Amino acid sequence: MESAFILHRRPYHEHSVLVDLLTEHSGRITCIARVAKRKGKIMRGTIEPFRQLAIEWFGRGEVQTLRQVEERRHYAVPISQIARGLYFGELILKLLPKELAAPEVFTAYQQALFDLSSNHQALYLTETDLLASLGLDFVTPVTHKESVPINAQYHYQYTSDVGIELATHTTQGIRLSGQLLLNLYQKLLLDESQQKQYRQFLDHLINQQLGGRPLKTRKFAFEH
Amino acid sequence: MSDVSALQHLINSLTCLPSVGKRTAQRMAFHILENDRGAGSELAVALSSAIEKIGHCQRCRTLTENDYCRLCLDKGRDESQLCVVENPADVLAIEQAAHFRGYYFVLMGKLSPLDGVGPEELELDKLDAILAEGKVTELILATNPSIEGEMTAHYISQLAVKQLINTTRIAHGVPIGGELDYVDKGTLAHAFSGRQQY
Repeated sequence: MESAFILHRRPYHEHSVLVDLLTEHSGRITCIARVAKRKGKIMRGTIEPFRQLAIEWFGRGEVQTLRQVEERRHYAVPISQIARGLYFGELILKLLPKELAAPEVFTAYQQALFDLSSNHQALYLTETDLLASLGLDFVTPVTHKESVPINAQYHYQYTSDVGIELATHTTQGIRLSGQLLLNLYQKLLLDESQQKQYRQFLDHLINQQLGGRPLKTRKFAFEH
Repeated sequence: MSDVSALQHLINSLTCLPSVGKRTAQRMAFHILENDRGAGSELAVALSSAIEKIGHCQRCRTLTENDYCRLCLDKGRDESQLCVVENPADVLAIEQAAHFRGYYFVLMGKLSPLDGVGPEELELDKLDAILAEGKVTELILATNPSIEGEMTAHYISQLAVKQLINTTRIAHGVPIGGELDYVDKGTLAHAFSGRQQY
């Protein structure tokens, strides 16, 4: 059996659900699960996000079939953080291609659920680590191309081709202050204005990666 | 040829019902056509009339033939209590099981951002308007204990907080007559954290 998390599930006919899962070694998969309310089959209550499951599945193609599901751990995500948890899940759904083994994403998501359930005060750091596991790794003490140390007084820009580099007047990338970059690198708490600047940076970056496709959970996670 | 197509159309249409697959739909269709055409006609009329006449209550959103449902028109109920549920079936379940005498608000779903269901789809502005009337003193959140149900309850509780209305949540846990061994970990954890003085 393999460890997995449910990222999203929706009803499929009367007794089944269509489930998007993040597995530890097989990446992101989509399965159909026939669920029941009593023990013996896959229990409906088990097919919920924020639970670490051990699963067995079979089949080929786009959609496979869940054969067995056992619950290994339940992350008690506070109700006020459910939307943020779903947002983290949607980041994976949208940024991780299907069936690409990504144990580092699994570990980062596991940590994210732990942070959410333990009322972590700096969830922007959790999001930063999750994005890094998804290939958006911009936290660095030196510029990516020239390896020049980040200066707190300067502004930098991020582009997917070059990474972090000194911003210019004609900059096309997303700007970020040197001080903010250094704080992120040292995992220091950001003040309110830095958090606002960083949120704009993250939103811009994610939007660019998704080619303008909206994240449906974003509004719930940050505006409600 | 057109007869075959009418039969096939009937079979396909019947499969829209819950628990009815192709085979059951076939049995139903043959039963109506071979044994009980009268009942079939009645069913067709009843279906067509229900679809035409039944809409949503303008206040609580449950299914009704009139502008307002029977419960909303019942002046004998306690207007200080409002219970929020996901579906009309939940209203029926509470009416049959609990001694609740307040009013209801039926969401006809739950918030599910990934599926594109937000506050607008659930017409939460209507609920907000009811709360703003100032008559409700307790808002009972009876959405299902799923992730989306909890998120919906949380969102609605924020609306109530703005109107300074006390919010309560129905208890969740081990079913009466159930065995701990058969309860999933999440439910058991919830039941444990919500334990009460004995």
